[in-house]
Amino acid sequence: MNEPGAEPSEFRPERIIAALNDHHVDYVVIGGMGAILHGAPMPPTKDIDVTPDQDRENLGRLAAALRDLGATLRAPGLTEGVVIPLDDRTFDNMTIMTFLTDAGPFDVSLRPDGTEGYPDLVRSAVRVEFHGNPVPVAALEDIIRSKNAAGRPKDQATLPELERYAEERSRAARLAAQAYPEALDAASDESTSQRTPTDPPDRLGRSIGEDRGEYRGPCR
Amino acid sequence: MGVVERRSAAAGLLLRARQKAGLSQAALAERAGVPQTMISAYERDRRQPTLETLLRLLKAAGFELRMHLAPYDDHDDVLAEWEATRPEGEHDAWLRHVRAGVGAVLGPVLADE
Repeated sequence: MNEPGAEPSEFRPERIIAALNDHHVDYVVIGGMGAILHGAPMPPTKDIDVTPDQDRENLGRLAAALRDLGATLRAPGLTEGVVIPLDDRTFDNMTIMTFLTDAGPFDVSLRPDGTEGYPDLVRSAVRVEFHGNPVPVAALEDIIRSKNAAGRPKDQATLPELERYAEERSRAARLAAQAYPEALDAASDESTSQRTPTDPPDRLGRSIGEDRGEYRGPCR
Repeated sequence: MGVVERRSAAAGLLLRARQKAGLSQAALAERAGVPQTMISAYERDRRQPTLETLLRLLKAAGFELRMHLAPYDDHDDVLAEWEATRPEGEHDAWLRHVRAGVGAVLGPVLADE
């Protein structure tokens, strides 16, 4: 529990994801962590942003996950988080809420800039394995769309690499589609796969089940 | 694995504009009537352009900057305050932990429903 006076929590996003999954929360990961989950070159980010389905019951499940994580509401200038009631009404009339949990910072963004929220983002979202947990992640193109719409200075700093990475990945997928058109049609009809890396690639230009390599973008 | 550079917003804007225009640094410099070394210095944050200079370079790349005032978003201040409480040296270890955990793409979300 993140109690006043307790040691600051180490950032372990996999624990946050596990709590969301254990409570069957419908959500997608967005923002910098979402881009990292796509293998994109991003400066390190020490929080995880999610957009939940705003169905009342789902927000109740989200609140339960937050309670399990010992979440408190953070605000600038306060040395300790503010303990607030966590239930399905917590998110009423809010656009973004920043929590500090036992596993580090956690943002809930109900309607990210440039999007219509969960129904919009889930359409193209994919599940990515992260420390053994399946994580629903907004499409990289949607993450870029949101950052572009937000227009924040920090997003201008990272968008060049994100856009270039997305373009290169899209180009790889187009080449793969040209090389394996019949196999991709069959692949789109299947759900999770036990395929090996030698199987035809998925729509993202990678074999389903293939571990993602590190993207070696501009380095220090 | 190297760390992606942190760059300024001005450097990011200039680089994005040049990439979208499909221009080399030399080509943009020629269009803008400035040395290529200036473009390089700005994109690498070795120098900071004035706002007017940035707008001129963006124009040379075929873009303009639309600006408006918005209420200050303190979200990153909250995060920065939390980061300041973290132990020295944790950062790199954390980054390795996160990247090491990223695995395979399992499929589209809506296919499960």
